[in-house]
Amino acid sequence: MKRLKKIIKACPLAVCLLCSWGVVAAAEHLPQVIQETDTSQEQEDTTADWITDDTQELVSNDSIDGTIGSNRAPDLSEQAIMEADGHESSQEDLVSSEETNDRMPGETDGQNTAGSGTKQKKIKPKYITYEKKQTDSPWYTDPGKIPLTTEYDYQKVKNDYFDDAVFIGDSRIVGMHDYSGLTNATFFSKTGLTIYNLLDEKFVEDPKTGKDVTVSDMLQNYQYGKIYLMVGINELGTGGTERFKEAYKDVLDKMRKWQPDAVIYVQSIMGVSPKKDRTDDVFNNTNIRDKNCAIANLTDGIHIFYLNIQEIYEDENHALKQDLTFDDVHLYAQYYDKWVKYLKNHAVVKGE
Amino acid sequence: MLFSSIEFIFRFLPIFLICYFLVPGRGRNAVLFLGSLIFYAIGEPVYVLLMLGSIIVNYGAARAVASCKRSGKTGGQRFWLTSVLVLDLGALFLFKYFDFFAENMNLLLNRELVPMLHLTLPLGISFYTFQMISYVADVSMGNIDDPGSFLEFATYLSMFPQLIAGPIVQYREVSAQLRNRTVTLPMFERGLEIFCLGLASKVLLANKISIFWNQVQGIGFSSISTPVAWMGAFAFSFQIYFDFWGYSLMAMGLGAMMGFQIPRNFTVPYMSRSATEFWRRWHITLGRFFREYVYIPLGGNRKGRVHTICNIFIVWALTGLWHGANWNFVLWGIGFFVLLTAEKNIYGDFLQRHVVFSRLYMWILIPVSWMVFEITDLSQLMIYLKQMIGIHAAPVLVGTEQLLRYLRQYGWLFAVCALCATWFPVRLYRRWKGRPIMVIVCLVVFWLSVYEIRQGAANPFLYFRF
Repeated sequence: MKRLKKIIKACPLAVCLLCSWGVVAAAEHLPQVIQETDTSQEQEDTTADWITDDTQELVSNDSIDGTIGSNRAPDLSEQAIMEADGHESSQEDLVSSEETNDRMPGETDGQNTAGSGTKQKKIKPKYITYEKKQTDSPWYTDPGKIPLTTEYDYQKVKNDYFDDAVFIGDSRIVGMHDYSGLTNATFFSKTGLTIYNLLDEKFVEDPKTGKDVTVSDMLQNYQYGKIYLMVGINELGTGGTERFKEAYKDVLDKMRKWQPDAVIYVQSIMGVSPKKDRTDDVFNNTNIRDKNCAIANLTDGIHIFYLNIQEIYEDENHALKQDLTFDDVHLYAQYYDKWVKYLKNHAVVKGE
Repeated sequence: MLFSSIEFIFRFLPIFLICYFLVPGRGRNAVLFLGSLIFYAIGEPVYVLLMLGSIIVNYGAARAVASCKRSGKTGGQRFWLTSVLVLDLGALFLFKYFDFFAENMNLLLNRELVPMLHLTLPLGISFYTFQMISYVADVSMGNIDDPGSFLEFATYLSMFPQLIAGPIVQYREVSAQLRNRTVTLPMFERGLEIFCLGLASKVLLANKISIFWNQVQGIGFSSISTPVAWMGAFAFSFQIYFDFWGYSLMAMGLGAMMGFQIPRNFTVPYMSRSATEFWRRWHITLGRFFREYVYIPLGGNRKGRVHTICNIFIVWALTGLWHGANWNFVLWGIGFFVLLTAEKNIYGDFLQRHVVFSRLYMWILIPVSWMVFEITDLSQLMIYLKQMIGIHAAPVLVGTEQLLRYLRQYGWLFAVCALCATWFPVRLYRRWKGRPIMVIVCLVVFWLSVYEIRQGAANPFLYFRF
């Protein structure tokens, strides 16, 4: 007892650290027990993702053999296909137009909101295919294909096209806001944004009230002509592709409901550099392609268009060129204007 | 295993300390040696054998040198000393400099003559090689009377507090403690305090401000304005200082907890008033190494002015190269050679007389020199230096608007870093040492640091969120 007192007197910091460690450890133990049961459930979820992903794979494989692109528009995707031709054997060169049964819930083909009165045909994105690799990840499987920009009669536009445009997304969109020089557009962008918190996180300042509101509030209270989305890299390791797709679909549905007249551009999740691709088992290009295939499938070429932003910056293996990035994920500031240029060349202009 | 990791703080260190204090005084060297091997092996499972081999070879050589010296065989002494130096420096060259050498040879000869080896650098090899050299050289020069037992030497060299990032402890500084040391409760407590403060320096200051420097690198040097370039250079200056100082403090603290007095490595270097003074305050144990084992053996300043300048040049080229196998490090070292020589011969007295001028001189020099140190790509370095003086080759995309945002976002952090780079924290520590307030401060910064580490561990992309 006497000795203990001596220790406490001589080493108050050591004693305090030990005691506080005890308290922290105890406090952590309880939520951990709860969490453990949670994660076991989540694991079940991911296995479910695996199964659905596999079946989806079969479906898409069938369609690859079935159809070859019919009405090609003369745009950059041609180039991308040609590029693929040069690198891969003829068997893998098939360009497929996918006809899966994915349809937006709450939306029918007959719904006419795009200005013209006639029923429009859905245009699904085409793909470059390549040989699939075996993957071992709860987050993704190799889709064996890369979706291309929706084929459409895009117009060239000037800066004022973006007057009523809103860009929503993660740090890549933050970069665009910061460095592209596109000042007339609206940006709802935040580093670390995911499809799961995109609508509900309060990070946008309402121009009228000056209060912080959610993207969901903004889209319900203001009308925009164009919505550009880029999100998906942060959640590459949260939930499998199927869960991501569900969440993305849900966001698109809500946007369609709140912004019936807006053109929605789903921008591809931009890939990572070869260095990152090689070394990261979550943040790699296979995972990104899997997610891109999922979201490209949600587009219809009527209201929602898929833009393969990746093709502006990719190397021969469709990875982000190593010398365009410092951290293997983000572009150097000087390269954002190419992106804007691409968007100006791929503008949907309606109501003629 | 980093000191600033959960595994070290909550697993390795407590278990080690319990073992260490359970074993009575004599066995403690063995516990420390084994613990250090485990510590090293966790990070370097293969190269731990290299370190072990080096320890055995160097100890054997030191004994041979000592016995030759005793029996007056200068030839034998010289032979053993030379061969062990060749071995030690050879290993360092092979792992650290070979590819750099090969690349430049091939470039010079304009053909692929020397193959690249792509070896990974063994952890801490730069530091422990220097310690081995200092030990054998000290035995040879007679600075150490008794080379000690094998266990004492092995413990000295591998001792985990200083194994990976220094300070470069000399054997004679700790030889008495290696033989017989007592840890008192107040000593242990002081050590713990210093460890906590070092941890805070690394985690709360260095890691935090590194975010800004990373951001500047991410933007790309060709797009930044002059003020942003300076802000980036200052951010890196703070980052490297608080990182290294923090690590040295943690080493000192850990040493004190086990009864060792590990020498101080920094004494407020950013308050220096000349580059000469800076190097007396920055990485003190490295400067000491080069002075005692390179400069003085080469003749120091005793052989005339030209010879002295030559010696200083060699020391600084080597100092540069020691920091990394790249031309920018050589440039950095030679830059300091120029400054030190000029200060010594031309304007040193002027700096001494003009306080304000000398401070400004250093506060400009320090960030510039760190940029030369940090940017290994010479063309990128040129771009950065040009941005700093206001020559913009490409349009500036990150200008005043972003600068204001950065100042709002990071201004307080810069202010805290600047304050902590002065004498203030040192004086405060001296005043508060052993008082209840110190306990509170340490507790708070310790748990804040742990919280930050946990945040980083739970989300490895805290600093790199997309």
